[in-house]
Amino acid sequence: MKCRDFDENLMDWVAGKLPEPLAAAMSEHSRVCASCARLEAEERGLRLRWQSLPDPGAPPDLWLRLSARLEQKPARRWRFALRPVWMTGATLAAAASLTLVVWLRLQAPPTARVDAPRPAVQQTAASVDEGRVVQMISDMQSLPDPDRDDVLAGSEHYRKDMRILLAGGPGR
Amino acid sequence: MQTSAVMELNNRVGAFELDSMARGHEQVYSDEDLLRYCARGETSALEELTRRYQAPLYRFLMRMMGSADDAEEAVLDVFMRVWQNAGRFQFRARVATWLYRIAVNIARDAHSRRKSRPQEAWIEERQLETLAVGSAEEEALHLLEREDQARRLQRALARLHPNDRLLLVLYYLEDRNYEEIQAITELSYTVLKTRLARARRRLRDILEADH
Repeated sequence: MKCRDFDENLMDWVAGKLPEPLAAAMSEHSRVCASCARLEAEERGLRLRWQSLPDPGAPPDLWLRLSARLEQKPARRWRFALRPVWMTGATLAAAASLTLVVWLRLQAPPTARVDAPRPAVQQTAASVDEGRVVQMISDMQSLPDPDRDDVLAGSEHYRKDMRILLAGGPGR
Repeated sequence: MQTSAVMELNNRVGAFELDSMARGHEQVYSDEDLLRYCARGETSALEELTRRYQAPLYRFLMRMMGSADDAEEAVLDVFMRVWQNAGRFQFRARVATWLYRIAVNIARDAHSRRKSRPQEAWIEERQLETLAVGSAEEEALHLLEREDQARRLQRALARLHPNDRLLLVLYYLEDRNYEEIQAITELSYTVLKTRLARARRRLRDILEADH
């Protein structure tokens, strides 16, 4: 055994935690090595010091004090248990208020929402009188098809354009 | 009628005590059983667990914190935490290991809180004085010597870093094996061996300087 191995196993050897063959080797090394024998004496002295520390025993009335604390605890738990209820209530109230505000805004009349007058082009078909639209369509249906040849032939513009075209001038 | 009587009894004494009656008082509950009862809110189970571990935990915390008052307060905190967290224990480690781990955490928290306190507060004279009380005359010299050695060791421990102190107390005083110390400190075997040897050297140096 080398001194380094002896030093490594010294604590366990003195504590009686080494297996027998290794313990015997330690004992033999300590017998022949003076410096390691000194280390062994130091370690045994240290162990004796630890053993000299008095055992303080159990603290007095520990269970009485502990049970008193346990009795105090439920009150505290009760307060903690209430906290989530308050927090949940507050969250629900806030959410309900927000929903109410959004709903009221959506229900407000359009005039209240638009300050500037809208241009005429923005008027949509939905705002035009439906009866008037039906009348316009029926009027248009009674008119001749402007793309038909006989209609075109009867048109003053058509005749003028044809003359220009035949004379080699620019078309319409 | 019988059911209501049982329910009434159950409410009055708790399931743990009923079970104790059924098993007979000679039945020894394991720490794990006691912890399961604690998780169900059985204070009698906590009382039994306290009875088993109050002395070793107090001794351990006394050496770690150096003051009887601090150690008592810390032991109370340990069992309060056990009570509050019994339901979360996974039963992967031994209950004793868990208790010591809680104690280590409490001692560390206390140490970081009282860093500004003077080191003299660390030395607990009261318990050392009790050694001489009631001792026979012929043993007085021997006891005085022991007392002196204990005082020196206490002083040396007070000057060590808390991590060094923890390893030495677990190894020398609590006589824990490496597996248990590993479980409490969450150190690997190699790191534990190295740090323990280093802590021992530091303690030896302090003791030699104090001589």
